[in-house]
Amino acid sequence: MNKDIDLIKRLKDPKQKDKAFSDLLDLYQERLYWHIRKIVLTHDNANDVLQNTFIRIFKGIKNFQEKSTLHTWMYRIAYNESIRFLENNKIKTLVSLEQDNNSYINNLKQDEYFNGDEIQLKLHQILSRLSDNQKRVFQMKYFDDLSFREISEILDISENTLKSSYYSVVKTIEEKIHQEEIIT
Amino acid sequence: MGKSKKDNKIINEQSGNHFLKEDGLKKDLAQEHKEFLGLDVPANYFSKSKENILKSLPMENKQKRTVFGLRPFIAYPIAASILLLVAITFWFQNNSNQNNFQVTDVDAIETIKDIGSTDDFLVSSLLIDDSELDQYIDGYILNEIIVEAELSEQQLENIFINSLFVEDSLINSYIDNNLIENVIL
Repeated sequence: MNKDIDLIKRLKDPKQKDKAFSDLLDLYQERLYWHIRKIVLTHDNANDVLQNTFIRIFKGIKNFQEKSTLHTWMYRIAYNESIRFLENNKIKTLVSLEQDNNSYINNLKQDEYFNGDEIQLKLHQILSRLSDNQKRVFQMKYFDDLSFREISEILDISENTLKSSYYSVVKTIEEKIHQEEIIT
Repeated sequence: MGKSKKDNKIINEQSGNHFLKEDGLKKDLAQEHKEFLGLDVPANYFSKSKENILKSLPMENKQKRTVFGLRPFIAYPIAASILLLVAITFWFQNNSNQNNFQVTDVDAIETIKDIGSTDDFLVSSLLIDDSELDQYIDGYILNEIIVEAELSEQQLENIFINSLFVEDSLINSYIDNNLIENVIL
């Protein structure tokens, strides 16, 4: 937290901003990449969104009011950029339960940088069948290691709703995977 | 890593085998995403990505430029003072030139006399109003023709008189020379 406070101060100082931004990239680039990648799925798309995200961060840092942590603020920008990207490209990777999830899996398989085996594909299939909110909370909590408070600020959903949604998803995945084990 | 072990890793959060943290240690993100989700990245991607991002940033943090090596709040007043001086100089020059060109009827004749040559008579006459033209012509005839003629005559007389003096002086010198040669020597 103290590191973030110092970093914010340097980012807002015109004389130190360039060096501070380089440090920011070292600290957060990879984490934000994986956060974005799980939403947009393919590496090329994630690369584009990551670049846009950091440009937005660079432009917006001077107006950052510190109502949330720097960490949460950047994740929120990354998440919004990912959703904006999907909407602009009309890629339905986060399909709802009512929609066919073939495009989700097909996009994944076509990505040059997807090297998953059968079980990993199965996991993705399970995720694709979840609702948008369920998917998001599970990815952020389980894979991005964000706290419920941070996820609440990013998605603008109450913590209690997120907690119940998350544990419900974990249970669903457990059941599905066990079912796969039984079948195989 | 076998399938069953991977499954246990995914679902067994309570034992501490979390996706990112195993036994309290944070694992490599790229490795974990590849292991659990099959997602991979190109080699050296993040260092190249950092370079690309830094290159694409908008240029808004360049140092403020100085003007002639001075800070703007010093340079601009100096520049303004110089411009003012130049403007004042031009203004004074314009004023003096204008004074030179205020041609009155008396001044016109004086100016034209200063020009001096009869060849400029036609040009000079253009500078004078029509109402003053007769006066100018009379003045021109008086000054440029009659007076000049008189002066020319006077010069001729002077030459003649001078020549008489010269002849006398020559006779005297001749006499003196003869006197020296013939009488003394």
